[in-house]
Amino acid sequence: MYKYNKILYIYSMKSRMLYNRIAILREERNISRKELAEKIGVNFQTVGYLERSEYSPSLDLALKISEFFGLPVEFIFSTKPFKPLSEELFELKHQKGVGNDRIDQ
Amino acid sequence: MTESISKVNRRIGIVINYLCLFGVVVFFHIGKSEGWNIVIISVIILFLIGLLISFWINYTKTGLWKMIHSKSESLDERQIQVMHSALKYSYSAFAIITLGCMYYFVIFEGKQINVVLVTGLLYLAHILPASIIAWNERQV
Repeated sequence: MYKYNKILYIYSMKSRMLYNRIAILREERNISRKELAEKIGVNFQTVGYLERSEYSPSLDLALKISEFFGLPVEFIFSTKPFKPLSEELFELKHQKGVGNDRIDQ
Repeated sequence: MTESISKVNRRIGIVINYLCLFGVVVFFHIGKSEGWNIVIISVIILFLIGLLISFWINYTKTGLWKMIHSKSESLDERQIQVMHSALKYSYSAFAIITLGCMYYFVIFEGKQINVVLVTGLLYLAHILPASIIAWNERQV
């Protein structure tokens, strides 16, 4: 039973999907896939694979991407699907103690 | 300059390439054992032309040949991962195909394998990883 669970665990680890916001961030900054690929040192097709979540990057590549966008890794990558940014902003706006001027920042 | 080909067209190209390779090997064997004539020679030439054209379209034009034969330093982590996976499967497939051919010739034909079959197997060893990538990947 333990062995079976271990196999299942390894299998689930391998098949775990990594969601990301690369496409949104790239479009927001008006950067082409080729330009982003050059900056982070990968083939431009790899950027497409990353954006479609068909390839999970190594920690080094994930850090390179977060450094390029100037954002924390957890903001760009997640094991759970991301909520739309507008929804997150709306939720943030309705949180206690967060004013409009802080959101604007 | 590499050109992107759709997955369906790539798969058709791979099947044509393998059929042409198989045709060359089989007709050379027939010619050698039954005697050469103009029909067999023409068929072999046609298969060779098909083999060269499908090779050029599938592997040279798409850049797959270059990718498979390039150093790891010039590839990114995804390409290395894809290449390693393709090499792993192609080693297994190549071993099975080679053993199959050798046993067939030794058991059923009772003779040694011919030079064209050896050349075909060497060609296969080089194109198998590239064809596995071309068959499976969305973009190459």
